[in-house]
Amino acid sequence: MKRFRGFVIKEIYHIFRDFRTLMILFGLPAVQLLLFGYVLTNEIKDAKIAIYDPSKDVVTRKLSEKILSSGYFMLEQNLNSVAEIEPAFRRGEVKLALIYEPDFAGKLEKNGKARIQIIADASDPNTANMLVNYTTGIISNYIASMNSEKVPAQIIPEVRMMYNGELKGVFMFVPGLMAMLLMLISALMTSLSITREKELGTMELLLVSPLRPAQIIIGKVFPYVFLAFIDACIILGLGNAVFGVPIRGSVTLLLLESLLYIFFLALSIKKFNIRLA
Amino acid sequence: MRTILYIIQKEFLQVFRNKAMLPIIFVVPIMQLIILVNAATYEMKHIRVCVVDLDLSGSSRKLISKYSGSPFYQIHSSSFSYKAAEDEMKKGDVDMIIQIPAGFEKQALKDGKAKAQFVINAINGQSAGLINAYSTMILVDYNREIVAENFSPAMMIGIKSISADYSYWYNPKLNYKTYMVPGILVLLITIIGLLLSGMNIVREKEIGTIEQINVTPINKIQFIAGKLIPFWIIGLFELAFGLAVGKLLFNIPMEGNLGLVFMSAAVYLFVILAFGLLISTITNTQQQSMLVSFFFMVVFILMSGLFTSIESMPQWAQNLDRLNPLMYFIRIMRMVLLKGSTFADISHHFFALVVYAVCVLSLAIWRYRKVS
Repeated sequence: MKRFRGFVIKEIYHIFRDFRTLMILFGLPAVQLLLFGYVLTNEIKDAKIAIYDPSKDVVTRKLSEKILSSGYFMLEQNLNSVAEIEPAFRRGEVKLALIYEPDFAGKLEKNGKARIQIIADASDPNTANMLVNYTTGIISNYIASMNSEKVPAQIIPEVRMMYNGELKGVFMFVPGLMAMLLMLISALMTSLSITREKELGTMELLLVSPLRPAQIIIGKVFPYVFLAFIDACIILGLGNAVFGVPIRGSVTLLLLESLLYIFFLALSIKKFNIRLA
Repeated sequence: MRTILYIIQKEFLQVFRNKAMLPIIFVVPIMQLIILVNAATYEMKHIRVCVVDLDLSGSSRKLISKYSGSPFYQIHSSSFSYKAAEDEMKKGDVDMIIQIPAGFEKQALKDGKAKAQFVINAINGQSAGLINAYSTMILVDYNREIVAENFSPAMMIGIKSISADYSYWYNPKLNYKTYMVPGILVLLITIIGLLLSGMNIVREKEIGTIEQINVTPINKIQFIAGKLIPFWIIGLFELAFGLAVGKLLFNIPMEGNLGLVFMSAAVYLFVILAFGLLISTITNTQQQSMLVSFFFMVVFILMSGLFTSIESMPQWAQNLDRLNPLMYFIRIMRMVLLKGSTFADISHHFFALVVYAVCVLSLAIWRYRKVS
């Protein structure tokens, strides 16, 4: 037991006297969490669009204004012809093009019908899909407000987003980051620490020492498990304090699970490594 | 020049005589491509729905059949208690609950308006947004049908309508895989390039062979060139291999000029490899080098627009993203491969990469010292 303790202490010295590694171990999760919590979102905001409006009448102006004031879209350019759409898409300047038909208001008044064409750059399929949906939604709202009195029977959806009402990206991201960083620390770091002993030749010293294989393995794993566990707590704490990521279930269960996960990763890589040696 | 050739030969020998290296270079990326492309798809198929129909009328059944008939939805279960449905969502068995309150049909006939509840599991914000969009679309469709059924053409006079036709260019079937393959290819050559070059000099430092090189007449530039070129060739080969696999397995479109792709890749690889070398010169152990590379890689990847769109990031982050080489190259790949952009279209991104390559390379050469 005393030998084992000595071995663990040696490992801890290895880690703590390598200041750069230590900085990264604790700086990495904090910086990434803060950066991505503020940066990564899935919501669509200010998507750039182009409008081709040959009729330029009251209705098209009002409709364009409605679309642009929704917050989802931003006018990048006014097109002078339909042929300008393709180059704009290819340069990646706009994501969506709106095309009104000529004499829009006149046709709407006379025939009760007018047409708009929406063209989306679907090289990014999901964004295209969402943008088209938003646009058609705004247009149908506009139609509904035009016909306010004559609206026929309608089903109105009442949508509730469970667990993450504002559709925040962080909620999805924090647990993922935690799994990823724990894997990085426990799997990569421990396996590298063994490879290093082999490359430096100090592995030989360990092999001829009276320490048993099990002691070497556990001794190697132990400090990293401890560090990884602290990292897990930092991520959870920061996520909760700064971004309000909730922990709705039992905290103890979560921590126990992460401990299990760390152990499993550290040991599995270890086994693989020793067999290679 | 001959000196460089010898270093290149030495590096290649070192790579190819390392048993673990070959699979890392050739097998792992292809497996990652296949797995990642299939896994990292946000495409919505088989949204699992739990139906809580408390009305059990013709209208409610018709509404539900609209959803069960769509290829996007799959009725997973039905229940008469909202509580039970919510429990199922908690277990992760369903993605969405449709609740139709009692008296739904009566209200629709009397007031011309009725409400249906959609409860969506929004842990994954993006997919929740998509589910919401799809569901609303189906409902709009359903509303239109009601109007067509209940109103005679004579009553329709005076009701104005604007018909909105939409078309999806470049990817009419909204196939998400064709969007992901070019991005993931960039990811793979980045990982390989950065890790290989980042670990390389540090490894010589750890083993001690760097001493031997320090006492040779090889100068800085020859040494760096000799270290870079082998990985540069491996990276380009990797890209060609990946593109072939992408074409064969996922049938990705190649609208633009492939020469343009490789020209940009050549510059991009210089950026990444020089970056790796830079990391290699400022760290002392493989462990440190690995961690530093990982740190930058994760930041670069997540901010590259591979998974989330860059336009929706806050302005300061978009400005910061100008320092991200991955962002430029992923854009170039997607624009050229999917949209057939020409050099004029991508020139801005291309020259940004050139400037980047020159800067990082000179920094790496300046940082590398032939002293231990």
